[in-house]
Amino acid sequence: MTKLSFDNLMLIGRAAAGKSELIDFLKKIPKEERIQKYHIGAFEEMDDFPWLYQMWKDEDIWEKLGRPRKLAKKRDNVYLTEDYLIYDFTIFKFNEEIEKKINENPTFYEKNTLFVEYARGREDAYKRALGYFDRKVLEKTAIFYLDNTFEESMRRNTIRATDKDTQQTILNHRTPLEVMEYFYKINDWHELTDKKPHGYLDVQGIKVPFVTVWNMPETLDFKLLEKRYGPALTQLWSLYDNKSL
Amino acid sequence: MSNNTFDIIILTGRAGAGKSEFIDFLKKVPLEDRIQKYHLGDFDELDDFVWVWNMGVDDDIWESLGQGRYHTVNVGHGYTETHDKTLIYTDFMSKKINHELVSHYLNKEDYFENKTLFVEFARGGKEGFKKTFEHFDESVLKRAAIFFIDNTAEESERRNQARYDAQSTRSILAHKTPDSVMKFYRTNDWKELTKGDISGYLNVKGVNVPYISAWNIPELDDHKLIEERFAPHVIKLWELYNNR
Repeated sequence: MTKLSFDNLMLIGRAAAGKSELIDFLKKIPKEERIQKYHIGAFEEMDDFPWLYQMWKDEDIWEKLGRPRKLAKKRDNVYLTEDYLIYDFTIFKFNEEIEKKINENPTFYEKNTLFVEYARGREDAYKRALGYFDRKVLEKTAIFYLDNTFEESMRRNTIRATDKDTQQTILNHRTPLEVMEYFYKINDWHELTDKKPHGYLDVQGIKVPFVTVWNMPETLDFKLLEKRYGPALTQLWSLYDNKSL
Repeated sequence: MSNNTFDIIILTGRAGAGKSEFIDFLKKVPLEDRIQKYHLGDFDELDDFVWVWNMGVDDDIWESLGQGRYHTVNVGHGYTETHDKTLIYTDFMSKKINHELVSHYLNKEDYFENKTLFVEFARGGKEGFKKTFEHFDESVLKRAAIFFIDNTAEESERRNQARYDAQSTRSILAHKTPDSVMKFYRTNDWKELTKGDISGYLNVKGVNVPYISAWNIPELDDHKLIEERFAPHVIKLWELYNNR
């Protein structure tokens, strides 16, 4: 591997774990400095939330046309998805979209990193999700897991909803509280990683490097965020760069 | 409307009428020229074919997960629909276009100051265009002008096949609209709506929407000839748009 930046950087954690905060932190660093320090140059984001949101909005239209909703219920202007299959669906969609991106631009990874962002919950959350990714995606992936408590996720998620934003929108993507409770309260990340802060996961026989970062307390202070995220990204790069050794 | 460029151009006609060719022609005109001559500066495109295609790709995924397909049938070189063509291609897609326009463009105060949005779709069937326009909000119609690319069903079908034959792999760019869908596009209500006039205004929900029809046969490759064909129509459409 001669390139100096990550290919796929899978950014995961509970809903409202602080994924946008990390992206925001990275955007504030000049590109050249970001490559040197963190091995992230130009980057694009692929997040499954817009797909879910689009499916819900499409169902609003189908409902107006007299066809029943199939994927999510709608109550008090929020969408409630209880069928886990839809979350499996978005992993397959990641595979499709990543393949499409590379077909359209075969040299994409030479200069770009792709952030693959999603949140999962329940007993088999990440084991199940990772199991559905294509091997060729996993071979180019490093995982950055943002860790926090369920209570902190609930707190941040509630702050996302202001008095003005009573409706769930693509920008104001507050997760409904009952979905937070039902879906994000527990997950299998610590079980999967054996509570190690970093290392390799064996997924489908592929060594996938990971790092877990404790993302509490919430802070907007750039210096503090740098201390929090910087060493983790450096550690992750070292694992990624040396994984074939 | 206070700027010197179109806000929304509804670019429509049969599938394979030459909409992409028209856009390609515009892209080759230098920006300053395009603004001066055609009142088109920077522009974005919103094409419902992308959604039709993605619906098919999504259904492929649902099928691989052991679920039934929701909306489409995979016919190898493209997708056709599982239910009523009018419901999916006219009603659903038109409402979706309207939703996108209202939620993502009309609510951005300065979007149209410097930009034109092309809204592209093909329609067929007895009331395809009438129903489509009626699905749009008045706020959309007030900013819109319609550029209709006219040709024959036979020519559309020939181009559809030729586009597919020219590509080696199946993709959104190298698709072939399935024959059953092309059949749906054989007839439409455009001539009835416009009473056969080449240009004028359509009254939709009390809004005067300017339109023009451009005859696009034979297929041309030469930029000069394409310009000669389309330029007078764009200029005429601006006149109607500006004076309505």
